[in-house]
Amino acid sequence: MSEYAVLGKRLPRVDGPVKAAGTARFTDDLSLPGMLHGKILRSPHAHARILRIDTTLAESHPGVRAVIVGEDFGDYRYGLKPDTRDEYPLARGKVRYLGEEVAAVAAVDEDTALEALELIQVDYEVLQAVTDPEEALREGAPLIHDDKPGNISVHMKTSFGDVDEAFRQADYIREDRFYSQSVLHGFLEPNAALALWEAPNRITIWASKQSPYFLYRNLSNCFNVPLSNVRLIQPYIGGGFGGKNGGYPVDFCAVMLSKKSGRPVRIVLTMEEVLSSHRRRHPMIVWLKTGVKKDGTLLAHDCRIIADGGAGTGVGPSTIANAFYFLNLPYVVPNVRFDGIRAYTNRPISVAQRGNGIQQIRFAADVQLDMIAEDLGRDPVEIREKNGAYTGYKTTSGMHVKSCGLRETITEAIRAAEWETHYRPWREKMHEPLGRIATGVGIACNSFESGARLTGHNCCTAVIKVHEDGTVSLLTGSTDSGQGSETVLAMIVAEVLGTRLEDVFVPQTDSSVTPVDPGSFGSRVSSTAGNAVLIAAKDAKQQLLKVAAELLKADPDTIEFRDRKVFVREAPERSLRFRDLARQTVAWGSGTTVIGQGSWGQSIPPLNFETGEGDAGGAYSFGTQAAWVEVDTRTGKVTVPRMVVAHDLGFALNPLAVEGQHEGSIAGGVGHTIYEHCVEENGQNLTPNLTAYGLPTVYDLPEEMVSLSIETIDPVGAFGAKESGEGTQVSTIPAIVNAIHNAIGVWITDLPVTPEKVLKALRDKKAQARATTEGQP
Amino acid sequence: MRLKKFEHFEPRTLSEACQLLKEHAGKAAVIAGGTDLVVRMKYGVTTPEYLINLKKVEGLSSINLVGENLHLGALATLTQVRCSDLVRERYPVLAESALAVSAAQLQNMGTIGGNICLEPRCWYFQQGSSWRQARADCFKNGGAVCYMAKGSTRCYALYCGDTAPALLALGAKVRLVSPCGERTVPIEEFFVDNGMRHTDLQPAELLAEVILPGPGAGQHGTYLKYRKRGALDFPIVGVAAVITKESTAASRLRIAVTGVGSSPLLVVPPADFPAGSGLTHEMINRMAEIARKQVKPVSHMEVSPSYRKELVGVLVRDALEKLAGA
Ligand SMILES: Cc1cc2nc3c(=O)[nH]c(=O)nc-3n(C[C@H](O)[C@H](O)[C@H](O)COP(=O)(O)OP(=O)(O)OC[C@H]3O[C@@H](n4cnc5c(N)ncnc54)[C@H](O)[C@@H]3O)c2cc1C
Repeated sequence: MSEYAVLGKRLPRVDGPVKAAGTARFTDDLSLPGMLHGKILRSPHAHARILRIDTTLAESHPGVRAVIVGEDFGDYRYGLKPDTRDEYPLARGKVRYLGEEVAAVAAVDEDTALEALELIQVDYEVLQAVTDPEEALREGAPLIHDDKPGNISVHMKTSFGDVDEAFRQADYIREDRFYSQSVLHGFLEPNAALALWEAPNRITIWASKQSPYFLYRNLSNCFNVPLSNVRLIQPYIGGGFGGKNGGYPVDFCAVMLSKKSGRPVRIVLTMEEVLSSHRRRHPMIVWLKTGVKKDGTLLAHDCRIIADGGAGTGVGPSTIANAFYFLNLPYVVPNVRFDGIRAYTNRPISVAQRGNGIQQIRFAADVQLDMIAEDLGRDPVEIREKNGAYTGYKTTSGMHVKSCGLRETITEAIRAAEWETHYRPWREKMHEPLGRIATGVGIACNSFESGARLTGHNCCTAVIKVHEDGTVSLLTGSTDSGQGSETVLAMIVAEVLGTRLEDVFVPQTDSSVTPVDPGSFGSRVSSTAGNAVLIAAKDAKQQLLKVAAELLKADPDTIEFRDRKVFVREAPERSLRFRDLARQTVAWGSGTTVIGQGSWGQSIPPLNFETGEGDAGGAYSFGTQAAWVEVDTRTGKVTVPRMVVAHDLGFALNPLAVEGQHEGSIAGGVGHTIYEHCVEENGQNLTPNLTAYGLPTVYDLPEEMVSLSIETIDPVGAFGAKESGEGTQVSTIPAIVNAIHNAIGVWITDLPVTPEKVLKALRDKKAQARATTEGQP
Repeated sequence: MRLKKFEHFEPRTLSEACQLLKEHAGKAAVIAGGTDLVVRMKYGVTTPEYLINLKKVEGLSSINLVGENLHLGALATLTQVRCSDLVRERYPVLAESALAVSAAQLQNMGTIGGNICLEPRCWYFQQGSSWRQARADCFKNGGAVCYMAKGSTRCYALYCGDTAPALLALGAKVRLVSPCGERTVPIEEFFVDNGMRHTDLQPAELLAEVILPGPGAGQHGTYLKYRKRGALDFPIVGVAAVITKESTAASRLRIAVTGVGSSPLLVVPPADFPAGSGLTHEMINRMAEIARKQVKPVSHMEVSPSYRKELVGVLVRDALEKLAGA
């Protein structure tokens, strides 16, 4: 891609050195004079009525400056939509999950705050808890929210095409149940906030947020202060993955404690608090019925899901909607029926997590597709090629595919996986004895929204300031929560202005300074904010160009900006340094300041949470993953020595950053498939520490990770780019599960794939085979 | 997570250390590397008022040959143990087991003494105080239930130390020192299958050193560990096997297992095992089956008891195959 001077290059991240050196400052590294330390008291019950909270002893404990309870927040509740506001900064009247926040203390140091927590007396009336979503939906189950009958948090029922007719015409129908477990986000920086309340009504807060403007609005509403008085400053973030989107009790409590004590207050959760009671991915039961023609052509999906929402709704409506949307892609399925329920349970709240609702559904659909291929004696590659979506395709539900390299990703993935050499269908090898280590390969495909469009404010805005020495500041509200967007957005500026990456500085989000932004979710930053930055950079360039034309005595159209130089395209010797142009522009005429500005949003209607009609995002990425597994047939242990990601991301703005995303997706996906699981008893997490929970380490990840980008130059995204952050994790699970089947002939439909489950499945299969042979005459 | 207040002592001699333990009986804890103890103190499940730190005790971390026997000071770190030429040449199985502990950082801090005395583990008692408030105390925390084995009358916390099986298989002895004197006992007598008190350490008694008998000619050993992840994790099951040639006609096999009970377990081979002809395929299968039957795991932590048994069979077979091939 030599037409670009900066983009498409493998440039290291600008935030890499400070993070590697340990000098990047996270919320926990910040302090203010007179700062107090906050701690939160949590519920020891999964479901209980709060009869009385007595804070007198805690308040009089030496060193304690403020104690707060639910009543301090009045009736304030928060949530994604007006009808889903069911979360409280501190519990009111009832606690709905073990670990729910009940009270908070600010004291001169952490020890004193902890001592004070022990002095708070809470009387509970323990209620029957329900921690299983199917149980929660049964008649007579304990009600978790009085105003939510049936414990239904979200219910989406929709249908496109004629599903019944399609099943009548199908040659083959399969119906299976799948389960995806409760997994944590796995960020390494616990949630944290440092807040300063200044009377009469000014809030400054440093908080670890991937989408800080959610909290900015929350705080304005909660504390009844104008938005102009909410200053949210974003320090470095130690990962988010969906678990740092909105406002959480830690944020509200820090502000309230500061308001009450008149001092700045910092709360940093412990990892134990995060793992035992913070948000996590939706566990989901998926019943999927699929009809196909003999040749494997997909005709219809009929899908029912029950998602375990935990005790609050959070962004749950988007999770359920996503599950529906991505029944429609990456394959052509002309008839789709969907009945998705998100149940309340007495568990910590389920929210978005990298892939938000789509992993679970694509695990089911892409594993079932392999089952169907096996049943029909078809090839897993061929069945995917046959059914794959294509450029120009519009789903029956109204999703527009403007660019699609799915087929190329299949081709590239199987080439890199040396599929032809290693793949033999199970039916051909099923009669050979299994060795101690059985190997197999599997593939699965994905699609993902590039730039989700939620309701409400949606567009991104960028402001570019050109300093008189030729360096540039890019102000954006789009947050880099570790995904590397700061680098990529700066590269866009450098490309347009013909400067270098190191000349562009991207200050972190500050709601008093940076433009309002939806946030880092739904794989929207590079593509959506990228376009805003592109427009802003062009605007700044236009302003510079006017002066350049005068200085170079040339027509603006003939002038090029590249590598810190501004020159006449046909006569490069007529040039000046970018920094000189910047300086002269500032002094030009009566003097000016170069500030470029740009806004951009997907011109699509908001997500339709009721019918699912229309688009889920501005564009769609597509991809294929191939996994190579080894199964120890005596212990059931599965390892993944090799994994290939081939992803149609439109255009690789920074291939090195893309590679990082691909590897991260494999890590997240391998963890979800094999290693991670919140082991719980009555709503209590038995594994609330990083030793017991067991995120995969480098030793557990594929030794070989192949990252391939397919560029389709999408008409929507900046420079043709689409997302590459979440879609790539969507197909990791089914690729591995399909490979396991290819190795040992069993389908694991219940995650995680623990060694014990694999061993049991192998035994069951053997017993079954024996029974069938014995049954024969 | 903060620590409760405690007083910190740094005795220079073992007898001084024992004396301090005696003086503060019931309220003191011994700290070596601290990688197990401090975690429990942060959780608030062990709350000593006095910490007797062994770091300054003279000579406690030395590794020396005394005649044919190797003496390992209790304070020798796992890194020291696994890098010691004496250990690597004479008892590679011990080096293997020390290398299998957690990860490099923990091996640098953790000591062999601490590893042997490692507190048995379980998901229900090794938790923070607010976590534990959600349920009645278990035996370990002064209550009367064991969540690992509901309805049981004892604590079934699981012993998960990695070096103990190697030491058992090598026929190690431990030298214990107390204000009343000292005693040296075979390490299998040191362990007790009781989650509440998994060693025979008497009040004010300390583990001073481990003594390994000379390996003689033709000793082979190996330690195999099954864990969830490639690093960091405690063993789900660990198996050490050591074959020692006693004469041209006979050799002795010792197998020990960790992760199956509240103490490491010595698996007893039948009298005719192994024959002078060495380990045949058939013998290996038989031994794997014997080992599988001898262990009686109860804990559900991470895996079911039956799966744990299964693993013992697999690891014993693998270990013996490795030795047969060596
Ligand atoms: C994340 C993590 C992973 C781990 N993984 C493993 C693993 O895979 N395998 C494994 O075996 N261990 C593991 N450990 C546990 C621990 O790190 C090791 O067992 C280590 O060897 C303990 O030694 P220490 O010197 O740090 O013990 P300490 O914490 O100092 O002591 C442990 C116990 O022994 C007692 N003690 C120590 N020395 C003496 C003595 N001389 N006489 C009498 N009593 C004594 C102490 O009072 C205490 O009760 C892990 C720990 C952590 C935190």
